[in-house]
Amino acid sequence: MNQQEAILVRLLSSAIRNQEYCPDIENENIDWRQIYNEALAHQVHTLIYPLVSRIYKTCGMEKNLFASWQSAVFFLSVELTRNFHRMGEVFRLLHNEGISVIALKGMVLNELYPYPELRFMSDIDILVRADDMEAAAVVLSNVGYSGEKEQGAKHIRFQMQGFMQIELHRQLIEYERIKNREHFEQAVWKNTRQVTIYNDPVLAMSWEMQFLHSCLHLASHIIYGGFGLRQLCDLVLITEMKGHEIDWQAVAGMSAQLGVFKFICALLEVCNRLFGMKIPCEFINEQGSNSYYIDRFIEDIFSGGSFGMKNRERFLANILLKNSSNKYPYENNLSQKVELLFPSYSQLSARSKYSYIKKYPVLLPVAWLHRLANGVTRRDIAWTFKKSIFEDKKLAHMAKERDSLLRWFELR
Amino acid sequence: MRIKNGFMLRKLAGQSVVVPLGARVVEFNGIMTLSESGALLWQKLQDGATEDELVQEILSNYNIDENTARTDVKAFIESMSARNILEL
Repeated sequence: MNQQEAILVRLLSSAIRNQEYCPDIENENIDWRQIYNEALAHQVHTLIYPLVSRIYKTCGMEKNLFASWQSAVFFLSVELTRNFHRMGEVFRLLHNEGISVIALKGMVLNELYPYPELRFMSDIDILVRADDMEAAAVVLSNVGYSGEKEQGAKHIRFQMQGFMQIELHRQLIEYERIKNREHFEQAVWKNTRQVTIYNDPVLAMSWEMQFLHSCLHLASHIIYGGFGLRQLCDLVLITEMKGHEIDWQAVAGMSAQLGVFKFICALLEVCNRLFGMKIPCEFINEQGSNSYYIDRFIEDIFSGGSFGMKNRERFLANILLKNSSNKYPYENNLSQKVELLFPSYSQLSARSKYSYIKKYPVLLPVAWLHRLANGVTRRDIAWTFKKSIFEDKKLAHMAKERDSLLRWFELR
Repeated sequence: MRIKNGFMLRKLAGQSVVVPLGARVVEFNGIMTLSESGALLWQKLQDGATEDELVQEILSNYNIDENTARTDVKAFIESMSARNILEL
């Protein structure tokens, strides 16, 4: 963590707790543009804005920078307000059809923040029972959303011009490695609480389930790319503000059953190091704690930003990691290339796009060609970057580093 | 005159901001923030009010003379009309 990142963490730590904090302008050599860019990469620029707006006149920030910061914050908060208002209506319609809905993630976590409208969200996630999936899809279509269902997908993405994407889920945990998933999914529906979104009632998970779900969500994110400071803020606030409602012993027991106990211990240790959050004693892993890996975890969070998309190299290293099995060391170029081009049946069948091979295993060579065609034609990665996945040793090294961290978490 | 349907005023990041809803998004570009007195006038306009009533609202909340209040109210109405928010 460099000096500017450390300042960002201090600002954020105060902002989410609605505390005053004024950086030491004389001694800290603050580069506000760098702090803004870093905050943007972690999607926390909105969270620290109220604090920054109180000190900007005296803290040496350029006027232009503050103006763009302010504008970004207002645009996002207006966008969120409009979408929440809209979702109130959607929840009412789903309720009228007798469909139980659990609002997920940002829709309910925002209530923990001093300025709920500033907790960044890029889409809206809702959960319905598998049997209600079709009826819920009809309700969303009737109000103007159009859905894109992938074969075998556990969620449907709904789009509507001018509004955020809605992800309609029938399952919470899509990551195969998590153990006893069904038990967790059932427990979620048994442990709900009612909240209101613009006066319309909707279900939310109990805080115990919410905490676990947030951690499981981060586990899947760190495997597929990474996560940033915003997601840590959620955990800090759940723990600090709702910790008294949480049976931590039960949560620790469930996390062990799900196979994420060690990962959660590490997560909470990071929250402690960065935000000074007190770790619930049930998650103090004295034998398992390892300063070396916790330092690397913190570096992983800063180098990846929100969803691990901060820079191109990290993004490409993640592709490499995702497509490599446990068999070959990352430096073994030939086996790695072969594996990248022709992933195993188990790797490919786990992806919804190629899940047809579950039904027809004989189609594996077709799935390889299908995947190659997808890889060649995908437009979000330039051809030179596609080539570098096969050639750049630095990417292989990054992937190897992330791989060893994931293994330490027991997530790979 | 009154505020048209499809707009609401919300406190966002400590500032009163006009939020367009539904189809209003298409016709309303940018961000409109209101001062404390602007927010006061907005509340009054939600139920419908005349220019004189708005001036009285300002006079009863701020220690200013009637001319200044009227000038401010006119400017406020003009800016709201220009944004197509008011039903006259």
